[in-house]
Amino acid sequence: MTASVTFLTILVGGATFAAALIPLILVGLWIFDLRNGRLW
Amino acid sequence: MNNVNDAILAPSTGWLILAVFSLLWVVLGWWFGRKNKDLEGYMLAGRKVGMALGTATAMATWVTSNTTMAAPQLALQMGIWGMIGYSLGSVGLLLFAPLARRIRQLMPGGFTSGDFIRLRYGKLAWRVFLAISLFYALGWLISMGMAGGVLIHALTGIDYQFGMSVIVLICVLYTLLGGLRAVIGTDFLQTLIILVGIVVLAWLAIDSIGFETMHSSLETNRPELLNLLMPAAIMFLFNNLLFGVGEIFHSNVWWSRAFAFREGVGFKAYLVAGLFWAPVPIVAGFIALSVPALNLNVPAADMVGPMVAAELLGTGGAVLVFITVFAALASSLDSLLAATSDLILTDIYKGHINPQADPEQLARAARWVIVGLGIATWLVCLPRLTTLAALLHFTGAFVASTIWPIATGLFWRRANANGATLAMVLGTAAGLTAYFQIGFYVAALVSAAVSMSVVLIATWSRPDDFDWQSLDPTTVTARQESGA
Repeated sequence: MTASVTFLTILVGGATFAAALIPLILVGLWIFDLRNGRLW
Repeated sequence: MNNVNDAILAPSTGWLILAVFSLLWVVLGWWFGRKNKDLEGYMLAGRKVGMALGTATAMATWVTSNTTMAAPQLALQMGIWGMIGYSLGSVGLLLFAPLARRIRQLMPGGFTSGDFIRLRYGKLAWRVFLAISLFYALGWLISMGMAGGVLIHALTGIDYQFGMSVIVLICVLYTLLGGLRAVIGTDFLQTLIILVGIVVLAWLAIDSIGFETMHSSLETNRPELLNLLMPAAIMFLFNNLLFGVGEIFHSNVWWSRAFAFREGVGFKAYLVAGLFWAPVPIVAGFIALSVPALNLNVPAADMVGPMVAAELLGTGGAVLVFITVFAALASSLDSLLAATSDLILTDIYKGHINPQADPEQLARAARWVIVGLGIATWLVCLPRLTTLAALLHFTGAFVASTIWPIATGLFWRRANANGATLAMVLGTAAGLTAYFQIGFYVAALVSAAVSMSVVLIATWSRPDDFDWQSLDPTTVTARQESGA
């Protein structure tokens, strides 16, 4: 695997992994706010 | 060789998706809006929006149909730098975080970005700012409305006029029913839909093609896309960064959220939204890099996203893209409608036409302004003059000129009114000249540089001694009533 492929893999793989986690974090935050009466 | 026509959804499927999601947004808009008790509730969601909804609304609003559709287009034209350059749009959200905290501290009872400019710099700067801000907001509204019609037509075959009308009507309807609370509530769901949609598509591209195959196809067919030193792409990168900062710093879309967020939430919500937004253009844009490996013939660069999706997933892919793009369009259109109508209501109607308007009159006027703005957008979008959609590129010269007057106005006591006014006028003029003489990719850069120079020279040569307390309208009113 060349450096260029590694760069592409890390850039896109990392971004996709991060983007996949975001909905879970947002839902977690939503539950936290709801339980603490801080949603609105 | 594959053809996009194989992938286009049947109009009946398109109408079904439009009907289901339109109903969902309108019902949710009404449901969220039922808690609104007064004008402040309607315009600013009661000023108590928490971290989860705050982060999601900042993110969803910044993910427009441009992010989901133009990011793949840019990746196809400018390669890896196109994706990274687009993701630098997140810098605007990150830099706005400290501003949001400052705005909430200085103006706990503020309503619009126009309020700030009027109280900080006086009426002349306020009017120049309103002209820039409304021009930009209308340009963005029109480009979103047109993008809606064009995309719905491209994906489903539904007539441009029908598709555009539906998306504008639905956004007007639920914004009208629930105000900013409806906008923020639906933004949360729309964020989840957008993220799930782009991650599924990216994962399918990675899984079915793989990085090595994709890389070797690019190296053979489009080696320039892997070039990290493409000059136009590097220029684009910095211009896009400044354009994004200008858009966010001045627009009431972001200011209204700073006023609406619960105390202590603004800084964190904008910071996290910026971090969360950064990977989105890379994930959305990357699928364009699979075009050479899939041997696709792309007739129009902005259709690359749906084409790859349809190639990888068939009809399911086209449905997924349609739902994702519909969510991205709605999340930006509703925010723009709400924030622009607030600006028109507060700064034009109350500021210029009826300064004595009582809260009841304002509440009634707020709804009429949303309807009027919706109708105006619909009428301008109706003839499908695509040159109007290009307005948005044009606005870079305007918005970048506001970065320095706003940032220094919030933090420097010595920044003065004449400097701010001149910076906006000269920055815009220089940016427009650069746009026509050199190209779109330097307009924001030149505008911001000239505006910065004017603000710095004016502040140094004629320093002001601004009283921060006069930014809080409640303090000003109390002082006026006591005769101070």
